[in-house]
Amino acid sequence: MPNAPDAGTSGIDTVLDEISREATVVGRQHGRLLAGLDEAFDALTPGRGDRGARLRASVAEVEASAEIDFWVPVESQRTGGAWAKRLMRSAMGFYIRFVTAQFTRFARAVVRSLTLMADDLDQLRPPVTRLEVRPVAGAPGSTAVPWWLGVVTEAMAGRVRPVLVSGTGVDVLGLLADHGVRAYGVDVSDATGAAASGVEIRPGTLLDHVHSLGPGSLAGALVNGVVPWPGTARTQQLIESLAVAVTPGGALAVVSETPEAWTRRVSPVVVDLSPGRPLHAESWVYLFGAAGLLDTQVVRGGADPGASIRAQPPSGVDGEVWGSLLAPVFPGPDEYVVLARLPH
Amino acid sequence: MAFVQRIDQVLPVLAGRDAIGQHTLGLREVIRAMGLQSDIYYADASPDVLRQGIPVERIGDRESTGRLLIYQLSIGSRVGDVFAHRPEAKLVDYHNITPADLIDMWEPAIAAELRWGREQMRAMASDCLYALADSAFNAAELSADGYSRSAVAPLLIDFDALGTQPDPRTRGRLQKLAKKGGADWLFVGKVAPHKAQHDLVKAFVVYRAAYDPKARLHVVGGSISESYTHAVQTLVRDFDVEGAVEFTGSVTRNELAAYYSCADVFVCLSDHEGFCVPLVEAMAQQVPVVAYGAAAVPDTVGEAAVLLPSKDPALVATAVHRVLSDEMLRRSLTEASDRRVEQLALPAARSVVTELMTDIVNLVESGVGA
Repeated sequence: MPNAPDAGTSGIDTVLDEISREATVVGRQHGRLLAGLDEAFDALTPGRGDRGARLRASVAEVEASAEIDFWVPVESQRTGGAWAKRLMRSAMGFYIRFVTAQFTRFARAVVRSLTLMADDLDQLRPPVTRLEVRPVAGAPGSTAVPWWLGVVTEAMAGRVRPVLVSGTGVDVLGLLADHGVRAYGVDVSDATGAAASGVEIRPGTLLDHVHSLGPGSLAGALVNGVVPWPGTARTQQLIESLAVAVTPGGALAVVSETPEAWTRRVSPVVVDLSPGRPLHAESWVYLFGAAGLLDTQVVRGGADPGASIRAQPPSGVDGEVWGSLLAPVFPGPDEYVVLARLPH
Repeated sequence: MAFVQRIDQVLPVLAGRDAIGQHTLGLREVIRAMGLQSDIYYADASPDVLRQGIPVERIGDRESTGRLLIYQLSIGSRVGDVFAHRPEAKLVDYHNITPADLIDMWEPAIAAELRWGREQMRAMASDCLYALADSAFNAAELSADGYSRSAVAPLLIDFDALGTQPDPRTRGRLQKLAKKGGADWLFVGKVAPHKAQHDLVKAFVVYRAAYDPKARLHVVGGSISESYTHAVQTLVRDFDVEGAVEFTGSVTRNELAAYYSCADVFVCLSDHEGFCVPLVEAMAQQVPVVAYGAAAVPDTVGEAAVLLPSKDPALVATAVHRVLSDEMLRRSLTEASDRRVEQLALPAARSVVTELMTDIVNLVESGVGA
């Protein structure tokens, strides 16, 4: 979302409202053209590529510029200008060739050393892809597939721009990548392990990283679990900043434990003395709405500690009554995803 | 610190035709008009201004006592390291560093320089006495990166000088095209991923389909990315607007003036601008502006443009149509443009910068930051 125009411009605001209404009609009339334009440019946009591909592309660029053209053009609009320039070129040709030959030799040497470096780096990289080395989900010792993976991939897969993912861990980042989400993570700690597993982790804190992003530079963002803790102001700031960084039409998702599940899991002392706690899904819905996001949906999931108890009411007790009695104590699934879309 | 006797400027490249180069030369004149000595140190310079400065290798030739240094910061450079290691009191004049992520996909080498610039900027913060920024947006970035004292110092550029001599040949050609009917869209700026010329083309295609099949788009400026330029040109070809979209490459000042003089609307859909001089040039030439309100664009235009909340091609096309068909809106934009250009004009900018530099000199002489 861009910066808003200055206040006190009610006239222009009215014009913008009218433009916006007319644009909706135009968009509907030319929907196929609009989709075609997006698809066409997405097809022309290069993938982020791995670091090896980027290095080789840079080396190729240096190589293409290595040859210096010493054959100075002699065209001129003045009478005799071309003749004079040709004369100068002939007279100075020897010296120019002498100098350019040295530049070219230097550039070739640079290209050679860069190519060797790229070769060495390729050898250092794991020879097999991440997909081939990671165990199949569900197998002993494998990465557990989070219940919300389908919800998130449906909203964020197949986009050209990257998706910022925070708080999920390296394995889940890999799973997202396998499901077509161009995901990368942010972590203050050393990301060497992540690089080795083929997942991109950028150094830094989540909020600092989001502030450094340009408007609309992300296809989406997924924040898992970590956000309840910075406090209300910073949480709001994070959502507002993400709403700027995510491109119009992109998706923003928060995965969180419910407050009830959290209080069940930690000691009363931690509950009472913590600076914050997980938010209710409703609070995220409110924050998303305040940041101008649309189509907000809440999907509940994860473990349901009350399910087995609710399923077996004592003899003589009506099942529905039993469920309603237990509902406040065991409120159902202990996690949720709040997912919304940035307006166009 | 002793009395300030001279304030020198340091920058990676002094180019006569770019905004930072012109500002640097303008700032030198302001400092000299304050009765102080001032020189410019560069690593490289364009031929037209080669003699206006001194190679940075000679920065140590002068006494450091009574000397302030200003670094014109916009990208990563070894000159930044030279500046950082100088013993003099230091200021930074920040012109914004484009977020690397906007360019990384197309030009990783440039993205690396941008990241380097951002690192240098953060590293210099603790050692800099004061920082200047050419927009409130840039001042906010300085503050976020640890600069405790900063102020907005307008660019010292003569926007009025542009329109005096439009190139007659270019103007004649554009006028001939205009006679065939259809609006002339204009955007001025390097063809670069963060300037989003691809979004401009998308909006233009929709505009032709919805409102004006004879419209033309002029994309004026050299390229920083061959791959991105190729992609945008391919998009133009794929949607059959090749005859209506012109990529001029780099142009002279007079040719640029001709483009402004023949434009019906200036459309800017950049994802990131630290200031965007062409917006002010367009306003100075009475060309109405439709822009996506990203980064410093709202600061630069004030109320003198139709600022859009998104780059949806249908929204942009509709906004351009509204501007071109609503005489009253156009008049109100022109009046607002006049006011905004006056605020940014050279005499007003000189006065603000002189006041700021005087305050900074007083601050240094009072021993703050010593």
